[in-house]
Amino acid sequence: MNVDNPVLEIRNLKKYFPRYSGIFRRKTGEVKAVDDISFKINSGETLGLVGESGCGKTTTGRTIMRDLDPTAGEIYFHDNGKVIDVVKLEGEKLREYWKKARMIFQDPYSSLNPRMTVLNIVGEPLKCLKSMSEKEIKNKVRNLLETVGLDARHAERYPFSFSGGQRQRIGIARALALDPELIVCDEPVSALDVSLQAQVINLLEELQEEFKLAYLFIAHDLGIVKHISDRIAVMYVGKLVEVTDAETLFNFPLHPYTEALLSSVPRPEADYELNAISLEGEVPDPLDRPPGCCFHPRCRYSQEICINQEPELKNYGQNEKNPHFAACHFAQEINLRNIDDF
Amino acid sequence: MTAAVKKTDTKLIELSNLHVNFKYRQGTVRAVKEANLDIFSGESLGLVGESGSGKSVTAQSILGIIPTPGEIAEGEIYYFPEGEDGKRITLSDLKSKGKEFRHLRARKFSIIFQEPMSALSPIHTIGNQIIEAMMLARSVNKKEARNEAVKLLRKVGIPKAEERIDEYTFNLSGGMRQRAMIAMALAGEPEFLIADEPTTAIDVTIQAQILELLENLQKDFGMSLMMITHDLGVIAAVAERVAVMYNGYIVEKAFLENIFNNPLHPYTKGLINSIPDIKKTDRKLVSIEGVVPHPYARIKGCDFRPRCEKSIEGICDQSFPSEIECEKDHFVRCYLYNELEDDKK
Repeated sequence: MNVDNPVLEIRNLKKYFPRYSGIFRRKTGEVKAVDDISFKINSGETLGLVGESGCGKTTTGRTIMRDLDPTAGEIYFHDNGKVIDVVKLEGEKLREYWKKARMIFQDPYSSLNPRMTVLNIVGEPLKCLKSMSEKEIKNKVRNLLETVGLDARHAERYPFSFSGGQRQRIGIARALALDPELIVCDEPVSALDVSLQAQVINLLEELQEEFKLAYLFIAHDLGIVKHISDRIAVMYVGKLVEVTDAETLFNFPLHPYTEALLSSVPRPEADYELNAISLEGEVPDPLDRPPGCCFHPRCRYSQEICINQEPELKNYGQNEKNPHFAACHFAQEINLRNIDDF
Repeated sequence: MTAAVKKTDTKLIELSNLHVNFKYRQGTVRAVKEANLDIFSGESLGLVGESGSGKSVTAQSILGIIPTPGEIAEGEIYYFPEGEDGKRITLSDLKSKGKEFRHLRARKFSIIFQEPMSALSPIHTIGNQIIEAMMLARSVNKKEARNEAVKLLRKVGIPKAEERIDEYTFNLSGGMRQRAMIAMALAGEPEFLIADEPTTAIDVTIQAQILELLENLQKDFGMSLMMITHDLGVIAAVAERVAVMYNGYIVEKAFLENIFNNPLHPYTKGLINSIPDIKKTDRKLVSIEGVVPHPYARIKGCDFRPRCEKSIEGICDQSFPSEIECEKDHFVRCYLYNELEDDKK
């Protein structure tokens, strides 16, 4: 998985939402939802994106999809050797991009139109973006439904006759319809029951193997992210604080926020005593971020420099093949506990 | 984790053969079926299950707050007040809006809901809400109640409590709101606290703090805690004893150690196997195939049979297995563990 074969590359991506107030609706500030993040997703790889609610995970995903236009930064999509500048795409070209990059949403109840049959829901991208005939669409949809483990005979039904897990499968079938290379999965299992989560995760893994898909897997459940991801990016208030492969992140975390996250996961083990590192205070307001390292007010290791100077995301990896990025002034000095220590 | 030693034998609440039905025009939803459950004083009991399994309705039936059109169709709920030997109140016979039940809800029982934003009033300060609960529960005047409320807010970990008490819920973050609601629930110094998915809407770092808080408060106040959740991790962190629900039935109940180390019901096993292990990798998740039955569906035999790999034809499709005590304090409702089956072999 270390072969450098990126399907998506983002550089210094920023997405700010202006905030207006007063009677003249003057711009009074900016919510820096995504602030200067860069990463790569290799072909056939899963990059997990974790963080607390409001940290900008979903905004990142939606910006990559060009559902939102970035404030600054570059997004490159590699399509069979061709490099596409996603930010500049317009009209027909953008529609071409949407054939290659698809999205799966969190809530399987609101992401499917209740007035459309499954055939129309899954077939719509085929109709809009690929001029296929009715009959071809019908056959393709039936195949897709079987691929995701649904009964092809149910194509004429409406979403209400399906359970949450089955609806999420419909959403996955819709994403697969155009044979994409990248799927942005925005919390695809967090609205599902435990026993169904496992089904959907297994399905996503099987599909990845079969179709060589790359996933950007956005989630807040560390257990699931660890299970599905090759590499993991940890996000905090619009910034990436640590990026490395899943094993390294859990065994040799370099950022204190990662350490706190690892300590907070309740585990389904009878003799496990939850001993979480308590983070003082609250997640900062992205409108009014603290100076320096934005984690410093809650960090146990913070010192003078953390308040004055913002740490850069630097590579601390031991070898070339396995980079380990972290944004902490003391990444090399402090000895953080890992998953086995909690 | 010496749960077995800690457990006292004083029963606080007893559910006996409880059935709760919701009658709709389209049919009857049997939300809770044949539930037998004891809650002992001072213990923390975890109630796990998927959505629609009847966890919340079980809790609501104890408090007499089942939403309409739900009603207790059969069975009894008993309450044994602490310190009054042998006294037994049949909660299921009380009028849910009657004076006696209201009195109990103010002083003896309490509940924490999943979504603090919808459970707390947006037009009253958190202080006023806590003070109101406190004045209903205890004979204190407003000033005393206010002082007590500040103390409580401090206890649940709200910084600058004397200022925060006059804030409205929209000024507080999710974690702080949940703390405020916990403070309100504790205002009457209850004997029995129900926490209905208290951390589902909260981030992991805050979740860990809230769980720790609940655990400490339970010990400090010496109250019984019933933790309702779908997250086995949360259960492991808080509960001493666990009851697993599936489609309205309590299918297994045992001490925490036994549930995780020696689960007997195929559903419990399935639940535990379907969670990714945070320490190990590359294990394919074992999922429970199929879906939860439709609420109106009537399944012949065991409700879990359609999803169960081990189901036995001619036995599992006949009737729902009754409760068997497989080892001490470990109950399961499954034919695999029934002597009946052994006899036939």
